[in-house]
Amino acid sequence: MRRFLARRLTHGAAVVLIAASLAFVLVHIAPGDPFSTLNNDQLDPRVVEAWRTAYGIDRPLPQQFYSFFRQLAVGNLGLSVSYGRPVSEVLARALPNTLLLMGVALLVSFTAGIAIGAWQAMHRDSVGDRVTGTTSLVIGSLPEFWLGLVLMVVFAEKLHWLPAGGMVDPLHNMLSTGGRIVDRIRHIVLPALTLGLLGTAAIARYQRAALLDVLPQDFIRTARAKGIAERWVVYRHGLRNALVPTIVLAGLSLPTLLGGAVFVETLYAWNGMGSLAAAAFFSRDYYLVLGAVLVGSVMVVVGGILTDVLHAVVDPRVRAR
Amino acid sequence: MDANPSRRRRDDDAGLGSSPWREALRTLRHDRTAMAGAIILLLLIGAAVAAPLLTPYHPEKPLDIVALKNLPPSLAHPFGTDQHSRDVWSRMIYGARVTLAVAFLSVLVAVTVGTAYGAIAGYVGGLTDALLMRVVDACLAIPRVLLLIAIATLWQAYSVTGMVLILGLTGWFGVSRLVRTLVVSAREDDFVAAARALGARDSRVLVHHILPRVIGPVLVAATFAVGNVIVVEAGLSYLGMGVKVPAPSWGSVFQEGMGVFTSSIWASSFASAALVVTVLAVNLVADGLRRALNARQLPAR
Repeated sequence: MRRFLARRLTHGAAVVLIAASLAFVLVHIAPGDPFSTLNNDQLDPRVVEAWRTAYGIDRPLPQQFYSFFRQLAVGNLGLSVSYGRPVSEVLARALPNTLLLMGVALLVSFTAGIAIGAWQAMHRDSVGDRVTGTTSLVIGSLPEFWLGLVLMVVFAEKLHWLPAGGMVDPLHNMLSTGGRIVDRIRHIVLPALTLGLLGTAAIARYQRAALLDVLPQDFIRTARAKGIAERWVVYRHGLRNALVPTIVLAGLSLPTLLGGAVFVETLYAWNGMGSLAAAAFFSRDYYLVLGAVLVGSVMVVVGGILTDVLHAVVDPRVRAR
Repeated sequence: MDANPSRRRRDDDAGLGSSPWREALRTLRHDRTAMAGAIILLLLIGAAVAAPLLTPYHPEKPLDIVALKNLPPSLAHPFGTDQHSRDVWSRMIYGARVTLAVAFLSVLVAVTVGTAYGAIAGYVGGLTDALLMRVVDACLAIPRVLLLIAIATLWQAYSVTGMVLILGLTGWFGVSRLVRTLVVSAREDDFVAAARALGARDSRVLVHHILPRVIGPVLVAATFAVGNVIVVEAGLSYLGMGVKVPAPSWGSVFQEGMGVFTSSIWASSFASAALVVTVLAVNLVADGLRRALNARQLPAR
């Protein structure tokens, strides 16, 4: 297990390093530099030139490459033009919000997806199975921003059940402790549901197929032959083994989930990494966007490692590989 | 198929029935959901091609900004009008041109690059393979939407060609991994060893013996990618980073309609309905293709 972990961590570190190099290349093949996008006619060109020297943008590329990684190693991702603060600081504030949103969405999609998929597999080819299958196919094809908009119009605009956006109520600080918790929960329901519904559709389809792969196998027949109740056979013997591919799916779906979070966060004014990156596009905040890309890929890599470890814990055969 | 053995025998006699592609096509023709998807897709492509014949109004010119703005659907305007008093139906039909062209062309770019990259990695093997695949791992670790936002920030406005390139060049990573896996397994096959023993050069082995095995799965992946790229492109338009052309795309129709969503839901609703129907149709075809192409690998053949 230790060797497995060491190998996986080395691989992850290599991937992050290459991703960072790609980000460096991306910036340097793009036209202009961070200071050419200021669009300030009042500024003396000599000042801009002095900034370029101060920030080392006029130095040869290998030198810049070296210092880019040296700065990266100490967590310096550059300065955010629109916030006037270090990118790492800006991102550190947004990251917990994105993690919270993604975590709740994952929880929703796993609980609901596994339950629905298992039910479908047990009632294979029944009317209920087909209706559910078609519904999840349709939901899976919906764009996040549209699904989010519909939920927002129905539950916020028309029914007034839930707030239409933001992280907390404007009067949040005047509420009691219990009121604050309720307020936060009310604000996360719609964004998490939007993101979670799409995941539920994917996981349900996957879980159904996985369980149908497991159910015809010999050990299931053995369990049935021993006289174990069908419900117990499915949940205890079938589902347990069918969970393995679903765990792997969770790791693989992380980039998609993070991409979906960009749209959901923008729509619901959720102060996360995604809405930050989308807003940074309009202020041409070079380093903030790149910082978001790097943090995003680190999240994906770490998520992948966690998935592999979990996979190895559940399935001993993986460790041997 | 088994219900009609006589026809099958006749095909075999003509020397046609043995082609796996013919077999797959026949399976596909009997797949009702896949055919429904294919018909919808063909109708959409037809509408996009024949756009000037199907649209009574100009897609970009306002009709009457005072009297004809934000109208609900009517006989004169089947999809209503938008906040600039333009006919939404005409905008949607012309939008299909941009949306479908961007989707198909960018997937073409992605598949070409991905297949070449993956084939080289898989065929050469060794250290080259390991290095090339680590780069792909890194690219796959970057969430695509964030990468696209970064590219949009660094390069700003772009044309349809630019959009095709951006979506294509950020979409090939998965394809290359798939192709590499297929090539590695095909490389070990006996028929490849046989071809080599007969003195075939590497390029010939790759093109004539290995690539034909790769095309099927890649075709399935590419079809799924078309559906995915339509959503991604619409999403970029929604964020305000879409194609900057005078002609509308479905994403931009949706985004403009969203601004007046509470008072007039028509423009954005029709745009999103078009998106969903198209993506669904593409996914149905892709699903059918996967079933049809898997079927030929069964020993029953």
